[in-house]
Amino acid sequence: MNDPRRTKMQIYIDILRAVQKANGKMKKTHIVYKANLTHSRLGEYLNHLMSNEFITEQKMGTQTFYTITGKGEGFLNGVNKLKGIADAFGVPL
Amino acid sequence: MNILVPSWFYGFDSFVYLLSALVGFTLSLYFHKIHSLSSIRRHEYFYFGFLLFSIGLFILAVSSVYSYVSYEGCTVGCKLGILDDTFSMEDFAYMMYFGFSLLAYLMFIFAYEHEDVRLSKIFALLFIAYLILISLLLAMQRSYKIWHSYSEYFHLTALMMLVFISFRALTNFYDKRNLNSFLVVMSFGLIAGFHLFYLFSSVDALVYVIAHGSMLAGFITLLAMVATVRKK
Repeated sequence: MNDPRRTKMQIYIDILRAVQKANGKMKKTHIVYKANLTHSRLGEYLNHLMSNEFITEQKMGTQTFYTITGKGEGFLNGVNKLKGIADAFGVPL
Repeated sequence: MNILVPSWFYGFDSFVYLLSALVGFTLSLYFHKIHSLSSIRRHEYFYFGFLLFSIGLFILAVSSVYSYVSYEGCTVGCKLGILDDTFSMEDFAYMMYFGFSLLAYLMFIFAYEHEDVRLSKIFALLFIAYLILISLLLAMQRSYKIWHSYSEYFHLTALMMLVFISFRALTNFYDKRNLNSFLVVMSFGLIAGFHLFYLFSSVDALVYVIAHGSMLAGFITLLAMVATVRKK
């Protein structure tokens, strides 16, 4: 059982996973829904992920898409490995 | 009571402690990373648990190497027990190992029972009752040296704690049904086996070897689990 409130790190992971699952590209409104966030807070998290080069922003006409980068994929890969270890001990991440 | 160590095994036990300490330290690093991501208390308990465990084992490794280098006249079998009534460096090292190990096992138990408050309270009460009983028994045995390298009370306590930890790992395996959770059950079980066999190490020198074989197998199993996860 996890603590009731997600930490910032958990939110970043949820956002990256949501984008990754959508073939690496997702609109802002879809991220809000998939990562279970509010519009008002999402901007702050996306800026942090972009400053760390985990995602990039692409504008296509009037729409804005967010794409996961190789660095973001690598970060998620590392998280998945840590998740595997935590799960093996029965204390899920 | 003295433990019996075959002469051909001299130094191998030190190697086992050192390797186990390295594996434990590796796992503590992983749980440190996990905790930095999750900020969940259970992960912190595992981090501290493995860190304490590896520190205790490292102290024991250094002490046992010193013991083998220092002792003269250890030929066919070396009785690494009480040499005299003086509290020596080796005795101090065993005390440190006992303390660190028990604290580590306690951390693992807290990690598993962190959210089950009712069970945690029951366990805490039972454990306190057990410690009081042990203290009374020790008080009655005035000549007993608690820092004796063969300390049945330590190994019995450690065994009981590890049985509980192994059981919790087993319930996780039944839930997950995968190789990694199975390897964790095996490793805790084998480390418990070390304490179980150590209780009988005064019977025959081979039991001492088997005990350390069990510990080595336990930590190699943990390493195998980490390797399996990293390979994915």
